[in-house]
Amino acid sequence: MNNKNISRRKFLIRAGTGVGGLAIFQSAIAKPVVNLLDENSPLIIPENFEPCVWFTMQSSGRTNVHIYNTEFGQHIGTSLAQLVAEELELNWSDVSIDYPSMDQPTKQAMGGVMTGGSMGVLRAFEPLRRCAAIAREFLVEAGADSLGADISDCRAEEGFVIDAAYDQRMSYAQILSERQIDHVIQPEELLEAQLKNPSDFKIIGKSVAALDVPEKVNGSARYGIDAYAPNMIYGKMSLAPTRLGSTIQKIDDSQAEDISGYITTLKLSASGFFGMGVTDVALVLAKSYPAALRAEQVIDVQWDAPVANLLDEVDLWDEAQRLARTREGAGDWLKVGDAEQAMGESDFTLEAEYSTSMIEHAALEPRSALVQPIDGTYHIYSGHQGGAMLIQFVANVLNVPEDKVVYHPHQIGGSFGDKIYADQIVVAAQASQEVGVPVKVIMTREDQFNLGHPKSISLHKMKAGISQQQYAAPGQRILAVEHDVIAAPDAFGNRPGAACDSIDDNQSQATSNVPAPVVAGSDHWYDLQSTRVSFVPHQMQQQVIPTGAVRSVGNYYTVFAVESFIDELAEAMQVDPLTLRLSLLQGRGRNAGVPVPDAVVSSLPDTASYVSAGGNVRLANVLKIASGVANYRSPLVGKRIGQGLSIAAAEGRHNPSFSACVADVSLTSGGNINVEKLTVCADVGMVVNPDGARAQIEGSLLWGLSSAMHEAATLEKGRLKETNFDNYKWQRNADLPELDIHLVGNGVVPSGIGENTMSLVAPAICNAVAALTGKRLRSLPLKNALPLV
Amino acid sequence: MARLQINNKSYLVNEEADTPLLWVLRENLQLTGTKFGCGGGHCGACTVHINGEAVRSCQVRVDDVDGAMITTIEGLSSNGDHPVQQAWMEHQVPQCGYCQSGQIMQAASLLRSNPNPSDKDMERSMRGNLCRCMTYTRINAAVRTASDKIKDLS
Ligand code: FES
Ligand code: FES
Repeated sequence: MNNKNISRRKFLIRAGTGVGGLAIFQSAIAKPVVNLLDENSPLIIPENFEPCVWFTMQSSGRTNVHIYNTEFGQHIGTSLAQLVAEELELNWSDVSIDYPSMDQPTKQAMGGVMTGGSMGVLRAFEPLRRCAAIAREFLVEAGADSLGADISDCRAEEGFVIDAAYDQRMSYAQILSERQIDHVIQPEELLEAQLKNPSDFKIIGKSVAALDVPEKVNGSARYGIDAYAPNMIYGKMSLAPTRLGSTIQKIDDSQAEDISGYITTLKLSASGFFGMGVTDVALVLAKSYPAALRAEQVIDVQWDAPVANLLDEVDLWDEAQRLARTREGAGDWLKVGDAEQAMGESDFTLEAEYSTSMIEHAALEPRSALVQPIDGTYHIYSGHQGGAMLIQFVANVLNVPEDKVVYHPHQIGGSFGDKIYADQIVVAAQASQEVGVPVKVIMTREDQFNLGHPKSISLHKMKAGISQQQYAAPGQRILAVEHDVIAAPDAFGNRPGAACDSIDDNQSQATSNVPAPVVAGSDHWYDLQSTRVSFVPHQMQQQVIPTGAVRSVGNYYTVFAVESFIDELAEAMQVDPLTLRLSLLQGRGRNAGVPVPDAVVSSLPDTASYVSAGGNVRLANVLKIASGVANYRSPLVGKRIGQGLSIAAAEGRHNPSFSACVADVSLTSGGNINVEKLTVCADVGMVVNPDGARAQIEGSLLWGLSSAMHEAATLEKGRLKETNFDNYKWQRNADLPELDIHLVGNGVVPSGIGENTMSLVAPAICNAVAALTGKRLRSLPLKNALPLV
Repeated sequence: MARLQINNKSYLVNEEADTPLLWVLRENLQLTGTKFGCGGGHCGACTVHINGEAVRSCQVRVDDVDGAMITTIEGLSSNGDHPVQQAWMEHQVPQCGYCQSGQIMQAASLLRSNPNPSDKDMERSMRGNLCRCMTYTRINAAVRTASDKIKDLS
């Protein structure tokens, strides 16, 4: 502990004020509000902060960590609290979490807070630990003062300040019940934070029990669908014959008037978010939800459905094939070298086409919303992945200033991307504006399918140019790979692609703007001599169905295409798929990852910039571990089993988690695929909560299995044909493979765990089936190809 | 007018005879631990006990349970410490948690009638309870642990 450092900070410790507690980071919600845009106002957060986490310590000794991320099963609150508790030297049992509301001052203070893309822990890693470390230094100084000790003899440990020289100690609770520490951390202080050495971590890296589990076991957790306000009325949507574009001509509710509790039916409009397609909605209002359900059955809504939207699944595929031929609107997402020229110089070429169906989020909690108007302010009680964006969107729809909308977060009963979309929230908000009382809209499962934002269909045209040179390393023989991704564009996330002169060039130039989530994963980490990946937008799909982000976004289908194709190349070149992969993972050019950072940094590190340190060598290593543990293609595995490999670095180059999978597959006597075992090694950089990470990977793998084997949403006359879980099938608690999961922390910072392994499953299964039967499956879900005979 | 016995309390509910029990629990009585997932008997999120047996409350008319003994997750134990709930904590089963009331009620009723279920028994009983977070491997491990706890008790 450096004494000089502390006094330079000019902090203020007031003794005996009678106000217990340490407000290190004053919440923007606590009054008075600190204006972070005002230079003269003390800053809570550094200028370049993205998600921000604050905490308050009480004189009782409890520390409350405020979680601005959304909980939907990943236990993000627990992980973030672990970061704080570690650097603040807290006793874990003294830590609790809460979820503050999002209003306009909070939004201004924090910028956009969005939970998604497996970025939560990564974004918080540096700023949170640094803030906590600085708070710890304050406590040590205050404790030393109270103990009459020399600060250089003092250290913090598990909620105590300990004076080693005189063997005396004082708890944080004692310190904070004697004085208030009134300091707001300045951004430049963050650089001076004295972070613990990772080898001294006691809470980071430990499988502490998740703080939100008890309430999910005793039934007391409050989800959006559980929201309640006195005098609230209920809304049931009556939906259009097409997903988009239909308009209401007339509503006849005369039949509903006899239904006890029926109030009225409103004509409203719904949209998932800014820039997404809009549809009319009839909202039936009643005093109870069952009454609203009954009334919705008998009202007569006359719709005008646009003929152009009355399309079927086959129309989407015909259009995809047309786009594959014409490449209409194609934009380059990745270029390395000159693939076209290299293709021309190759001895032979290999082409393949892969396709995947639409996939629904099918989160078990349907979306719902309660909106309560109080004195001109609209209070939203719901579960949404991005409260800051939400209040902006709702204010815009209601045509009220943004400070008139407040979002009160609730637990989310599963999202997978679904709760980014706010159709039902804007419907409830418009209704509450119109009728002036709280309105709760609950979507039925049928509404949820109808008003969903599924993952786009995808079609992949792959082509490779190969050299015959038998003596070259296998990876060197692949001279060029071209990949066209045909899928619906999405409403947000356009980013420029990258172009590099050669395989060894690590300075890329920007290419055309491409929706990054849609093509995520196609800019894979293989060292290819030359490559071109392009995106061809399927506009028709987006015009009929507002497709969206579903767990792992584009990785699900791009990794399926790339990893299947690598195996097809290996077969064509007569080399083992493991050998081929390892020879393409040598850390060349852009695949070397960013250089590992120095111990000393000159500015607040942008955590994200370190996440890919080590590059594709880490992919090679997880592949070696997984294939080793799985006894890959050893004679001991037996002829009954086929084994297939895959690797992925989802969600994207900005936050790769390097992972590899071996699928052990057999065939049933009836020709069905039996996935016996998935062996997975995931290098998640640094493991914050091993058991929590494992749980996410278990779920991710079974999601991958479910999607690969069963899931398909289909378009019929302009909307989804599937309406409930009897006709949209997914994995149930039966016929589960053995999951053998190995976690590795070979990086510098933690990366995401919620999505990365999902996309491994489909290609690993297909590669295993090919190894076992010689039959190559190129279309998902696989149920359409069964039984294999 | 139906007289309901829920978690050892009596309620008089004035709803249409065909109202699903689920909505009466959730909206009339604010017993929101029981969840709505599909409304069609496909997911099990709404599972409660009626006279000790696991039943999908979205498929039950309120009129038909007049006088029956109903138990919801809120009434399964006084402190959330039913052996099944303890096992659920030990295995850290819930992710989003939305299906878990139903899973727990289903497992509790299975173990009540069959404290030592075979793998097949377990699959038969639990396969109707969907979990979109796919916590199935932990659910199954927790049912085993709960079964051991219950056997130790008896
Ligand atoms: S809500 Fe009753 S079974 Fe799904
Ligand atoms: S824990 Fe999320 S649905 Fe089961």
